[in-house]
Amino acid sequence: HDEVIHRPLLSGKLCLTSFVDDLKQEGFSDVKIEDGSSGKIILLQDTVIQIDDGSTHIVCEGSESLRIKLRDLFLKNLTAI
Amino acid sequence: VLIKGNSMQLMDQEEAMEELDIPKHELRFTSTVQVPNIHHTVATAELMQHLKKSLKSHNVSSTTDGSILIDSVLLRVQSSDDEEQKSVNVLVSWSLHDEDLGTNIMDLLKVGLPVRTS
Repeated sequence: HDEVIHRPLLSGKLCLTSFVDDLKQEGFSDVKIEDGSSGKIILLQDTVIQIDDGSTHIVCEGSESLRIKLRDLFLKNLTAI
Repeated sequence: VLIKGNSMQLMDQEEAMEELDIPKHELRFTSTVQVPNIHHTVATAELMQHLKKSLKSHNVSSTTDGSILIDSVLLRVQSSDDEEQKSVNVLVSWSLHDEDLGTNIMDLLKVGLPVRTS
């Protein structure tokens, strides 16, 4: 039988302020926020996070555990519109 | 299940979100993985073959710009100036929607391709 896989679809908007606060609380001391062409860009430790209205792109060259941490912090701060 | 007034309808998540006018937010990841024991000139073809064998229930296809596409997961072999290099860096990009497939492919690539006996 086919395995049932949970394939989440997200909705809502990222609360940037609380996301950055959470990153700092998790020990990312050097968090830079820049204006991108269509949204915001967060730079931290081997990682670039590009945040637009309907999409976020996490380019992570660090470890898998770092990516998972960023993913979970992102999901925590995605709020329903 | 979407319940509207007295009617009930079964539809997939994406359709239901469109029906209710809920704005989608796509979360994508891009990471680079080093695949051992493979030369960059043959890497795309060999990876394609390996992934087709390993991921039988998925459609593994190639794009016109030389990348490999498996559902929303995109793989691109990074070229190298070092002809002697015996590993390749592969850029892997996937949507949270395909998180399981994306991480599965990352794990497969880290291990490398099986050694050919011929």
